[in-house]
Amino acid sequence: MKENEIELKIQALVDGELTESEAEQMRECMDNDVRLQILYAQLIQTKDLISKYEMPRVLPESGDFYWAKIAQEIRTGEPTNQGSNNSLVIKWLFHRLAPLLGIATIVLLITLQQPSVPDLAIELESDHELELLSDEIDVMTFNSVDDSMSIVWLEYSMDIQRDYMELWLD
Amino acid sequence: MREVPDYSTVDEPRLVDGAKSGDMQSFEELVSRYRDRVYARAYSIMRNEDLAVDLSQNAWVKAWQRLAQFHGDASFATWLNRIVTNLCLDELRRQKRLRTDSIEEIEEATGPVENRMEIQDVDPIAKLNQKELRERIDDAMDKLSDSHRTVLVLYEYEQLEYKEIADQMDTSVGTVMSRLFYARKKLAALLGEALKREGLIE
Repeated sequence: MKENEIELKIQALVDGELTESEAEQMRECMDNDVRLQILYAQLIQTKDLISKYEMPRVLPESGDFYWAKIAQEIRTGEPTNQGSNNSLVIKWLFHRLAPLLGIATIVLLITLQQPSVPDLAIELESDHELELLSDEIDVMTFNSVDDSMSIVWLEYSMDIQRDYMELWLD
Repeated sequence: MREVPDYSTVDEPRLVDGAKSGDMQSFEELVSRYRDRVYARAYSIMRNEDLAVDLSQNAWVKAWQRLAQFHGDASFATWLNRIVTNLCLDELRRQKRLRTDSIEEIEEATGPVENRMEIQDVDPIAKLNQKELRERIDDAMDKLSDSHRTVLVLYEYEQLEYKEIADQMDTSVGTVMSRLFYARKKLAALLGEALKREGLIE
């Protein structure tokens, strides 16, 4: 056993943390070692001093003031605890229903947007511009009379389904 | 007219039962009986008055909330001290104060400086009265690191076993033994130095 281990075992002997056989082994070690005997005596003395002479302390504020803060915490804590239970239920419901709500919202948006789809059955003339009423779609028009061509740029929100836009542009 | 009971004369088990059934006055009486003790335990670990007051109050609030869990296996005072001790350990962890300084770690492993010091005959402490002796020991406790002092407090004042301290401090039994040994030796050395300064020993 290393010296440090022996010292810790002596301490464990002082603290009554050894089994009977371990304690016996340590007592035998001490019999032949004065230094360990001194250590044993010193540890007992120190242990005794610490445990017997703890500094008594008194609360540095009045008992009424001290209690008032505790009572307030208890009173405010109770509704808060109830509140937190309610919020737990709400959170649980939110987690359960959030995916359903998300899907329902998308379906609703698509349904609402369908009637606002502009009718593109427009007969283009030489000087014309397209104007859409939808706020979610920006339109820019370029006309070339010489080439008998009109180019229309549509800038639309990502919220609008791409497939739906392609269908609409077709 | 209904008679108001004198809570100061009610025995502890009845106060605990009263508090369990929601009687705040019973609980207030328990607080008045043990507030100094709970505060003292918090102070012995934290070494700061304001923190000790706050943590001891938190301990009382927690005790109120957990009264249903108190079955009387230990005394009410012991149960309370466990709560405040746990709160102090949480606070020390939060403040990262449970870390042992590297020099102390080396000394713990290789044998502390105090081990190489001549062992003093501490008998001169007999010349001090109890109050003086308490003050010297308290001063020495103040100079220990948080981790060493906490182990001492848990072992000597809370009378926990090595394994219980290891569990509470999230460390091994070996580390607890080592810290306890170092803390005791350091405290004895600090006490010896103080007595030497005062001319009580040469």
